[in-house]
Amino acid sequence: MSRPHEPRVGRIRAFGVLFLALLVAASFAEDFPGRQWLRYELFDAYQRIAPRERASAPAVIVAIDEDSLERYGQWPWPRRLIARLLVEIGEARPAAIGLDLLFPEPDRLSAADDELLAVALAQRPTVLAIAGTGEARGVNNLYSAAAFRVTGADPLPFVDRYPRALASIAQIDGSAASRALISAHVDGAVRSVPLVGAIGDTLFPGFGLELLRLASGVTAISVTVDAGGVSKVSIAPDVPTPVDSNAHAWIRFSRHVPARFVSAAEVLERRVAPNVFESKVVLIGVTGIGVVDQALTPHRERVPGVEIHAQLIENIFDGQLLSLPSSARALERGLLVLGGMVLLFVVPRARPLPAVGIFAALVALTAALGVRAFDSYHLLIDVAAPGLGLTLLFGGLLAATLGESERQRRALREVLEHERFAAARLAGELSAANRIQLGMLPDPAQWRDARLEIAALMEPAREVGGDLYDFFKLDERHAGFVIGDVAGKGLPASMIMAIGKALMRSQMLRGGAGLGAVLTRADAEIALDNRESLFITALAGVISLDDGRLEIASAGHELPWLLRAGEAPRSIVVAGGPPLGALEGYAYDVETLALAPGDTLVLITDGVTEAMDKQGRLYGRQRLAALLATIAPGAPATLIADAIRDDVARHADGAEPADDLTVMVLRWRGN
Amino acid sequence: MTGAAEMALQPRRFANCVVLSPGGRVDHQNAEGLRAALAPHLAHCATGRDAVVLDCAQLEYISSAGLRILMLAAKQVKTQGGKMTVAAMQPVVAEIFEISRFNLVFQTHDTVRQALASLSPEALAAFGS
Repeated sequence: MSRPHEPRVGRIRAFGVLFLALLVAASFAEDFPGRQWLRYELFDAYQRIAPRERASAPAVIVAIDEDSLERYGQWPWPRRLIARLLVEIGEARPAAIGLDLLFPEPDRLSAADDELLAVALAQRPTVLAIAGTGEARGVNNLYSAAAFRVTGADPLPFVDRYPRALASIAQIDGSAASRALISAHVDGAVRSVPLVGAIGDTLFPGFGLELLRLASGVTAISVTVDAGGVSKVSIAPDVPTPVDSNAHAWIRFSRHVPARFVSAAEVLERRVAPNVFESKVVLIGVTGIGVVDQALTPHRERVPGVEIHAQLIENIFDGQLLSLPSSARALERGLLVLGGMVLLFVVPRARPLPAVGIFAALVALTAALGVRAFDSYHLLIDVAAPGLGLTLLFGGLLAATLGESERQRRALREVLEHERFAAARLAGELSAANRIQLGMLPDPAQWRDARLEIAALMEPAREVGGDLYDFFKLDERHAGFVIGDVAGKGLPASMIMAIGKALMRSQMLRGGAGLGAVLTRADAEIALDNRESLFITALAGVISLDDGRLEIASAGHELPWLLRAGEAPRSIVVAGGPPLGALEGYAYDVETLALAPGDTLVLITDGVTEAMDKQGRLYGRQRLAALLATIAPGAPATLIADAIRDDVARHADGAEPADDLTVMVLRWRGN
Repeated sequence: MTGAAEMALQPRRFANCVVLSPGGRVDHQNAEGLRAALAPHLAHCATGRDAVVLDCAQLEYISSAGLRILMLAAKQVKTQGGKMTVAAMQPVVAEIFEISRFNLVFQTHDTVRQALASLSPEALAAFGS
């Protein structure tokens, strides 16, 4: 782009830098409306774009499904049936069995059932569910089977904490090897589950983690806490379990996989291959319609809650858990600044369409970066925030750029307006000069003597010209007339024309010495102060209105034409002398003619004879003579004048006239 | 500006006389060109120096703008005490001179020879040889 654009580019950039700084500042604010929603939408989008493939199957779900409920009756089942299910599963030697079930009341039919279940639980590595609650019927006297080895600060302020828990009756609860929280974090969809939570002041492990701990035979869960919250939760150094500051593990979800499920009915009927459960974590949950607790995954699939735990176990087992690195915020801000700088550089210089293209590419690149970090490195980077920032910045820059070019267009338009105005004013001055020139000329319509018919017209050329005509009563019996042409154009010519006309009229009105003396005097006056060496060709005459006697003298002017009934038009040779102002002190001769009634004098300036067409051909005297020959005797004087003007225009055929065109027609009608 | 078109005058010298031959048409489009072309010759046209003859044999037409240049030339020469004549006009130009009475501003001659004869015997001799 050319340099003249630089100032505006600079202005837009300054605005952009300010805007970007504002956006970076805003990125520190966590809680502005919609931010969390945008983050989650983005994270869900990652999940959908790059869903996890279920690689290994460390967990199997024994589903108390529709089929099972049909065969063994409605939920809740008698507890002896659950006990039988545990026995059947236990036959295959699973690593751990988790019951995503609660038994908060004694069995409706028989206390013996509760005892059967308690025994079945106690004989196997089982984990019972507890759920955090604020309800008064909950309990707060539970203990955790898992030990916690806490490093750093107290994790209680950071983890999900409930005053009480819904748990199974003590008889059953106490029989299981362990108990763990099944509460998940739900915000529209389940995205993360706590690995550690608390009931009252007691820490409890999350359901999935506890099953893995039990399966691996580890006694303690280590928790590291720093100033920002929980930084690490782990059951073994070689099993990475990244968590956020609230000790939540972010699950990379696979789609719903039916292969995770085995029907409880099949287990009870021993229709399942024994190795299905061997060394696996077995989860027991209810999936049948009407009783199921369902959860929405980021894939927008409704799955049984128990599958969430299965997914968590798979995540931990395969090292697929997602992390929100503490450096993520800095990275997001860096993206904003980097992309912002690109936009600052490009947008003010580019046309809107390429600018949109570059912006789109930038956003696409940012999004690709986010997806890549998710897919390959299990990192949750919130590229929505810098993306939104870049969008705002782009919008601002684009608006500023368009506004600026609109401003420039307006400025340009103003300049044009100004120029047009100046031109109009100049034209106004010119037309004013033309009006002066024309205004100085008498109006033939005002002539009030029937003995003489007068028509006159002047067509000024574009530049101010110097043609003149004049007619006036000298006394009751005499009319004077003048036609003249100042050689030269422009204002000086106009001035000379005005002076010449005034001189001639005043000299003629003074009378006395005769027409020759009038011209001699005018000649001397014009020569007196004439630095431009302009001269006037003029034809002056006096008509005696009573008898048609014509005195006429020429100062180097075009000859007049005489139209007389019964004769061909002829130019009459007129005595006189050189143009006024050409030779000083010349004594002009005067011609005397006798006009017959109806005789018509046609006086012209060289704007007629020297009118040129586009090829430079002159109108000429022959053509004028030919035109005049076509005019009927007694045709109105104005018609004759108009005919000449129109014929000249036909000849010029659009060529710009170089000189004023003047025609004056005088007809003596007789007394 | 109009009138600045160049004009060649093909000057010929006969003793102390310079014969200039404008050609074609002189109007408002090239009148200034005529003025410029005349200027150096007019500068030497003074008492005891050159005389100028305007040979109009090739001149087809002259407008009032052209006449004005000739008038300016006449005035300058008159002030300098020089002599300038016009010769060999075609009928159209002669008519223009007649109508505009420029035949009163300049001495006119039918031929260049006559013009030279009126100015100086030496020039006539040089022309004749």
